[in-house]
Parts: sequence; structure tokens; C-alpha cells
Amino acid sequence: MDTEEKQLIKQILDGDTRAFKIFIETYRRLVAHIVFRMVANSADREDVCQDVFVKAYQNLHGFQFQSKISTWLARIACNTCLNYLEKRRLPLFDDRALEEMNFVSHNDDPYTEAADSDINRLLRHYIDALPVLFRAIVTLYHLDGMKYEEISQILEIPAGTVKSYLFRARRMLREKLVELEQEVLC
Amino acid sequence: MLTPHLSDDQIQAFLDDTLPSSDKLSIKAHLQSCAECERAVASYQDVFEALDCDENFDLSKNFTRKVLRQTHKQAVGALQFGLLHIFFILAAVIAVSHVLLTYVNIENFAGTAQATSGAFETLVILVRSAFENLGDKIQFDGIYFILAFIGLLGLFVLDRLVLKPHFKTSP
Repeated sequence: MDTEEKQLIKQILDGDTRAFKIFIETYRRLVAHIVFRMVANSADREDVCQDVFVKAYQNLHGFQFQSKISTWLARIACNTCLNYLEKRRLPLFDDRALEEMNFVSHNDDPYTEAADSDINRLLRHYIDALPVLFRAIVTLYHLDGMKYEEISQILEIPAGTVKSYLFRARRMLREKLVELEQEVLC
Repeated sequence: MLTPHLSDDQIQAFLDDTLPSSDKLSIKAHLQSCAECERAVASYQDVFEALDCDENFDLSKNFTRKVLRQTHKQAVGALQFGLLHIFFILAAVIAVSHVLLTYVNIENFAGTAQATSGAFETLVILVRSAFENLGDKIQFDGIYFILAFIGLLGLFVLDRLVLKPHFKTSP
């Protein structure tokens, strides 16, 4: 961790509101990536993001500087999302989905919805339909550029599992894409 | 000799750029001669692009302000809660003192204490003399209500004049 980050944390702990504002501005994108990909309900996303920063503020005194602040904050974000999903009794991870490719998009017919749009938009429907852990992993890896070890620390699963889930998630998406391409050809 | 097609894992590792350069070269060479694998790589590239796409993930403009207000509100709430605790502890001390002075026979209590421990006896004597001196100087009946009222009033004034304005001026 660089000294600038340490200094920022020290200032926040000393009660400097401007320092906390800088902290929020620096990490809001990271938190938004995780929360927006893990929480499907758009009405609740911003509230969950707020909860993440409030929890970070409350627990900052316990931060031991043993990991990067982004790793620590991402762990809080993931845990907050998992708690949110658990409270609403939404499935966290359904292993059958891997075998059955049980994609349930938020739209009734994503293909019709996105027929006029590009393939990228269509794929995003299917990213949203991945099991929540897969979504978290692909987000941390692709959007936040984290390594397997960092993701492993955040989600508290072995690095090998992170890699395996990442590859499986991308394979699922690719298979779905191929299926759609075949449908278009037929 | 037929070259086997690239596996999903190989393609993904190739696109992740995590393979050693020798493997990358052999995959590139394979892709030049295998249309099927080239198509597979192209579809994986679409997946990677979608995953890399930083779509509309932004929070509202006043998000930072909302968080700051929430953390501040909690801090003020904790302070008020702390003050309330202090007030109730003080009220409880006064009430217990009143009960002790009015209903407990301190002479008997001191006698018991003397039989058990010297240090404890000294403590009881000290407490007793303090209460007796206090009792001589002021009228106890009703003083507890006055003290409680003053305490509540103080808490209210502190809340209105110090905490509320501070909260309003916060970000």
C-alpha cells in the first residue's frame, strides 16, 4: 500500500470529511461495478452501494494495512451484496445452472428485445443471468483488472476455484452466443 | 497429421494473455490454418469485449453527499445515544443513593462490613459520611426530581444548540 493511501485513511480516522469524500470518489466505481453486477434490482443498487461505504467508514479503524484498500473494500462490497441476496432469499449459487445452462434473463425475451441491437448488448443480458459468484468473479477480473489471488481474498475461495469459475462463466456465455448465432442462421 | 483443435481453456488463456510466448506462437500458427478454431476465438473475443465493457454503472451525482450525510447522521446518533446513557446512569445512581439513605440501615451494614474486611469497612464509612454530610446540607425530598429535570433540560439544550446545528451544516 502506498503512503498516500495510508495518509488518506489516517485523515479519515481523524474525522476529516474531505478525506472521506476523496475516498468515496476514488472507489465508487469499483463498488458500483460489484454491486451493479451482483444486485439485479436496480432500485436497491444505490442503497447497497451506500451501505458498503458506511460499513467501510465504520470498520476503517480495524483495517490492518495487510491488503490493498481496494481488496478490502471489494470484500465489504461482495459481502454486503451476498447479505442483501440472502435476506431476500435469492439463490446465491445454483450448481445445476452450470449443467442445465439455466439462464433466466431479467427480460422475458432478451433476444427479441435486443434483436435490433448489437451482440454486446445481448451478451450483457446473459452476464446478468449468470450465477452471482460467477458475476462477481468476471466483474472483478475484467472490469477491475484484479488477479486470481486478489479475487480469492475477496470472495474467500481458493484461487484455483476462481480461475475455474471464470473459465466456466466465459464458456457458458460463449455457448449461449453460439446458440444464438445458430438460431439466427436457421 | 491432423492438428487437434484448441481447447476452450487454451483459447481463454490465449485471450487473457497468460500463456508463455512459445505457446502463444504455436496457437497463432494453428489459427492461421484452422477456420473452426478461428471462429471459436472470434466468439470468445465477443464474450471478452462484453465482459470488459464498462456499461452504465454510474451512481447518482449526489451519491457522495448521501453517504457523507448517512455516516454523519450515524455519528451524531451514536453521540446522542451515549449522552442518553450517561443521563440514565446518573439518574440510576441518584435513585439508588436515595433508596440507600432512606431505607437502608447504614449502621447495621457497616457492622457487617467490619466483620468481613477492613478495606471494605473504610469504603462504607467514607460513603456513609459523604451521604450524611450531603444530607445535612440539602433537603433530599424532591431533589432527585429537580436533578433529573435539570439533566433532561441539559440534554435537550445540548441536542438543539450543539448537535442539530452541527448536523445541518454537515455535507
